[in-house]
Amino acid sequence: MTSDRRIKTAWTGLMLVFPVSFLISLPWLKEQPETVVHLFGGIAATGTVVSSFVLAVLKDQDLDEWHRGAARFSNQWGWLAGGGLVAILQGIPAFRHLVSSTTSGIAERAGSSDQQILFAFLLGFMAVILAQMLCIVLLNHGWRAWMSREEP
Amino acid sequence: MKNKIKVLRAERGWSQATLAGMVGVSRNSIVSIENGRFDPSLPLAFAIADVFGLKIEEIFFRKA
Repeated sequence: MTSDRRIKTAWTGLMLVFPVSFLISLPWLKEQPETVVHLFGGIAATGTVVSSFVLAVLKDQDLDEWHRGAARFSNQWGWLAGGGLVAILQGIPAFRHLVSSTTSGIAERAGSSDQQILFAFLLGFMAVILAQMLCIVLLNHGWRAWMSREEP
Repeated sequence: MKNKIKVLRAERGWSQATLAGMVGVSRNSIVSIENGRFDPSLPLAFAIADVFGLKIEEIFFRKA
C-alpha cells in the first residue's frame, strides 16, 4: 500500500470512527447530563466534518482536468435538477402524503405542533439535498460515459 | 477541436493507457481527447505535443 493510499485510508477510518462511536455510546449518553451529550455530539460532528474536508482535499488533488470537467458539469446541473425534482415531486399527491404522514408520525411522539413544523422543514430540506446529491452522481456518471464512449 | 493523436499513438505502438501515463492524466481523458469530445487545456496539449516530439499545431486542428 502506497503512503498516499495509507493516508487516505487513515482519514476515511477517522471519518467513520466519530459517528460510529457516537451511535455506540447512545445508551450511555442517555444517562448523561445534557451538557455531556452536546459536548460529545459536537466533538463527533466536528471530527466527521474535518476528516471529510481533508479527504475531499486529498481526493481533489488526484483529479485531472477531465474529471474536473465531469465535476463541473454535474455540480452545475445537479443542484438545479435536484431542486427541480423535489419541486415536481411535491406536485404528486402520493409524495406529499408520504412527507406529511412521516412528519406527523414523528411529531406525535414528540407531542408538539412546533416540532411537527420543524420536522417537516428538516425533512423537506433533507429531501432537496438528497435529490441534488442523487442528480449530481447520475449526471457525473452520464457525462463520463458520454465523453469516454469509443467511436463506432 | 480535431487531432491526430490516435494515428500518432498507433505509429508508436502506444496504448491509450501508456500515453495517459506519460502525460499524467487518466485513460478516459485520452479517449475523450482522441474522439474530439474533450478539448485539453493548453498545458496538457503542450505535454502531449512534447511526448510525440511535435508542435501543438501539428497535432491539434480547428474543426472545419
